[in-house]
Amino acid sequence: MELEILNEEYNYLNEVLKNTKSDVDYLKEKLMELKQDKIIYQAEYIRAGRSGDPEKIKKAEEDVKKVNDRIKYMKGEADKKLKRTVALQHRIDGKIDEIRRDPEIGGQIDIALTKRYERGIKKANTEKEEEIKNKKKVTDFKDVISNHPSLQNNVKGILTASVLIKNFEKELKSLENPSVNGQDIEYKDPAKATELQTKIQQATEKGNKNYLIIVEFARKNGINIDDIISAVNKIIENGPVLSSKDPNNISVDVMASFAKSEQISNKKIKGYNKQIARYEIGLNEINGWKQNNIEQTEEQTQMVTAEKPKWYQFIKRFKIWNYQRQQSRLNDYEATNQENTDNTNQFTDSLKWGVVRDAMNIQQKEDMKIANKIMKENPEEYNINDLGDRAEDNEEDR
Amino acid sequence: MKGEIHMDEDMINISDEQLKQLSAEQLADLKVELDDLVEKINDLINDCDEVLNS
Repeated sequence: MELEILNEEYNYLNEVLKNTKSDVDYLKEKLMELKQDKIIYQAEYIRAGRSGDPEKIKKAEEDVKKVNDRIKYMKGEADKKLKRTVALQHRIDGKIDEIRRDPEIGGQIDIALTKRYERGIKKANTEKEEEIKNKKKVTDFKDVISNHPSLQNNVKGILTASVLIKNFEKELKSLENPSVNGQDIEYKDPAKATELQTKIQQATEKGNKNYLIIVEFARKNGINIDDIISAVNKIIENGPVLSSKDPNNISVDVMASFAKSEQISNKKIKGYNKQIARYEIGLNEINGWKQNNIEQTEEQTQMVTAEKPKWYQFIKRFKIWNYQRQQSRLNDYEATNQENTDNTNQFTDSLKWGVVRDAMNIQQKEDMKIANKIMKENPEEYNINDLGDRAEDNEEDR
Repeated sequence: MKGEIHMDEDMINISDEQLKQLSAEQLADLKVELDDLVEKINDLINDCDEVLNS
C-alpha cells in the first residue's frame, strides 16, 4: 500500500479480508489433520475387516464417518466465506469499471493494478523458485535414505521426536494459567507440567542424537549438510505422516512423510503458477482495455475522415481553400513589396494590385473548372445527384 | 487469529456510498487481495472434496 491516509472503509475491508484469510489458513490446517486421521481410520477399518470383529468394524466405520462429517462442515464454512467474498469481489470490480470509464481518473486504476500485478508476479516467481529448490533437497535426501535403511531409522527418530515435542508442547500450553503481566508462567497442574517439560527435553535429546548421526554420514559421503537439515525441517514443517493415532505409540511412516512433503511442494508450485497466470491475465486485460480505447479513438477518427463529402460540401471546402490561398498570395505579395512601398507611386501600385487580382480571378476560374471536372468524373463519390440539402447549404454559405 | 473461526455476516457490511470513499490505490489493493482470496477458498473447497472422495 502506498503512503496515504487510510480511511475507515479501507481499514474495515482490509480487516475483513485478513480475518477471512486467517480462517481459511486455519481450515486448511485442520483439513490436513483430518486427511491424516482419515488415512489412519481407513487403515484401521481394513485391519478390523481382516479381524472379522464386528465391534472393531463398527468403530472404524464410525471414525471415518465422523471425519467425513467434520470435513463436510468445514466445506460448508468455506462455501459461506466464498459467497460473501465473491459478492464483495463483484462490487469492487464494478467500482473499478466505473472509475475506468471516467476519462479524468480512469488511468489511475490501471497504473495501480499494473504495479501490483508486476510486483505480485516477481514475488510469486521468487517464492516458486525457493519452493522448487526446497522440494529438490527433499527428493535428493529421499534418494539417499532409500538406499540406507539405518539412515532411514535416524530420520524416523528425528521425525518421531518432532511429533512428540509438538504434542507435549500443546499439552503444556493447555495447562497454563492466564498470564499476569511481567510474571512467570504458572501451571494449573505443576507436577504434570514438570513431567511434560522433562519429556520435551528427552525427545529433543533423542532428535539431536539422530541429527548428529545424519550429519556425520553427510560429512563422510560429501553430502551438503545444510541441504539435509533443510530437507528434514521441510518435512517437519509439512507434518510427518503417522501410521497410528495412539499417543502412547507414535509411529512415523518415513517414506510417506517424504512423499507428502513433495506433494505439498507440488501443490504450492502449482498455486504460484496459477497466481502468476492470473496476474498476467490481469495485465493483459489492462493492456487490452488500453488498446481497445486507442482503437476506438482511431475508429472514430477514421469514420470522420472516411465520410464522403457531398457536392456542396466539396464546393464549400474548395471556396474556403481558395480564399485562404488568395489571402496567402496577397500577404506574400505585400511582404515582398513592403520595402519599395514608399518610393512607388499610387498609380503604379493600383495597376499592380489590379494585375494581381485579375491573375487570381483567372486562376480561380481555372481551379473551379478542374473541381467541376473532378466531380463530374466521380458523381457517386461527391453525391452530386443529392440536391436535397442544397438550399440549407446555400443558407449556411450566406 | 488461529484456533477459532470468525463469525461471518452473510454480506460484508459496507454501502455503495462508503465504497465511493476508496481511492484507486485502495481499490487496486483490495482487488488483488480479493482475487487471491477467492482462489484460496476455491482451492480449500477442492481439497475438501478430494479428501471426502478418498
